[in-house]
Amino acid sequence: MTAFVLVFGPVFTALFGLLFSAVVALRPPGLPLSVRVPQAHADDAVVLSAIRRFRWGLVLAWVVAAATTAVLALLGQTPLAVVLPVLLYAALSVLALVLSRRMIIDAKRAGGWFDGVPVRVSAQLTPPTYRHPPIIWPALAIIVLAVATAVDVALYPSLPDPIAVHFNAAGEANAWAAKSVWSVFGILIIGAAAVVLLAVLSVFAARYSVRIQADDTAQQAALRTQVQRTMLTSVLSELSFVLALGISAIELAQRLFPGVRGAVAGGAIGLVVLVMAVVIGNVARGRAQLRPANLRDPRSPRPDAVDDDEHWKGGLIYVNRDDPALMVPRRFGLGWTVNLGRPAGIALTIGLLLVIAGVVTAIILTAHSR
Amino acid sequence: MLIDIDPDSESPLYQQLRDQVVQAIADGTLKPGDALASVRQLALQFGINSATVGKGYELLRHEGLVRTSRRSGSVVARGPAEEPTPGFSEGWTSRLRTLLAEAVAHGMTDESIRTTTGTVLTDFAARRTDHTRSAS
Repeated sequence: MTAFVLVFGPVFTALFGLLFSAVVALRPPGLPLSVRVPQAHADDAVVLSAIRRFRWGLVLAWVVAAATTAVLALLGQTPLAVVLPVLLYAALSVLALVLSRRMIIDAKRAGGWFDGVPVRVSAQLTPPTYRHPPIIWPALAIIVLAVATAVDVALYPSLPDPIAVHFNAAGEANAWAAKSVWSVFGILIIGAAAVVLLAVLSVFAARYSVRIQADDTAQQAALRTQVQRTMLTSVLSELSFVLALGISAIELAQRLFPGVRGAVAGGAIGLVVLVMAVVIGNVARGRAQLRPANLRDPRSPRPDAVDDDEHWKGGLIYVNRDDPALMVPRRFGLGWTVNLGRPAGIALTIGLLLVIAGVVTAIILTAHSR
Repeated sequence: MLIDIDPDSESPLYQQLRDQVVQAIADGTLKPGDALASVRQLALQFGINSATVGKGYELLRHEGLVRTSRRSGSVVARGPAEEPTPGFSEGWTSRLRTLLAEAVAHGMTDESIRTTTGTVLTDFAARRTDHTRSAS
């Protein structure tokens, strides 16, 4: 039990730190730590030391989170020892980002980095071409879930009624429900829904809307667009497979080896590690592919991008009334963020927060009712 | 191809868009039949109002350089190889008159005006040849 608690938080946050660090390296040269800087200052000493500081901040956040895990585990605060360090790590890493990027912003303002620098907003005039996301991973995901379902169907008559639906990490059942399609196949149904959702999202990701970095050449912009799309699409479609694999493994462990110590917990940790491996692997590959797009040729200089920092709160939240886009590509990390400058964007965010709050409340209520 | 808009320029955004498309047709970057991004796609990329982009496209349509159909979207309608549309030459000559008058009023010599004109035209032609060669 304690082993699971002690391992989960530190492993999860360490992987998250690796991901954060890899994301920093994904940046176009003009966007260190989500701050807009002109090409002439892309490798400024302040920029490089701010990035170093951010990485140290991540290490520090990990140490604090790991220490919190240990203390809470010693005090026997089990659920808190898993959840709190992860939340603490998330908050501290955002703080590290906000503080270290402020170094660059201050230097930029004090040094007048953009004074007299020609800036442009660029766009691709030729219409975008889209590729279909690969069908292989969602297909494999469905096959894996189908195998697990087949095993469940075969075992169904021999399963006890009521059936155990929740186990503690030691593998002891601590909640039961009447045997029904939902109590037996529920987790597989949720898994199938998640696979479908991820497949749909990957179709959208393959059509990822991009914003051209004005300092990219046309070829570099095309490469950046394609790599970003592929990265996002692969993450989503590979995740659908990993998720199906993890869910099926946990389900089969429960059915075939009920009461085996750590089977379910091991499956859960394995799932988290696989999920992070997929994300980090794709980001690392994307980073290598993006290298030619981040080179700058001093012989044929491109104009700089417009300094749009005022619209990026903390480098993460986008607020721009004049931008017609509801969703814009993130400046830090993968995927999109909502434009909070638009009423529809605010409504969408409130809706999402309500859904998350609802799910969390439902989990807490069901946990307490047991 | 990339369109670069200067937000600090005195020239309005739609005018800059229109001017760059015209230049791209002249230097062979865009050829007749080439598809253009939709007004909405372009506006979302720039992060500006669709109406502004639409105005630029409207100018190009009005000049007969771009045509828009429901089926194939906006495409480049003509290129340097085709005869000018009737009446184009008159309108253009009167605008050129204003441009030449500016140059003369600001003290540019006839000789340097002719040289500049020649350089620009040679540049367009050279780029056109490059584009044809790289296409084939």
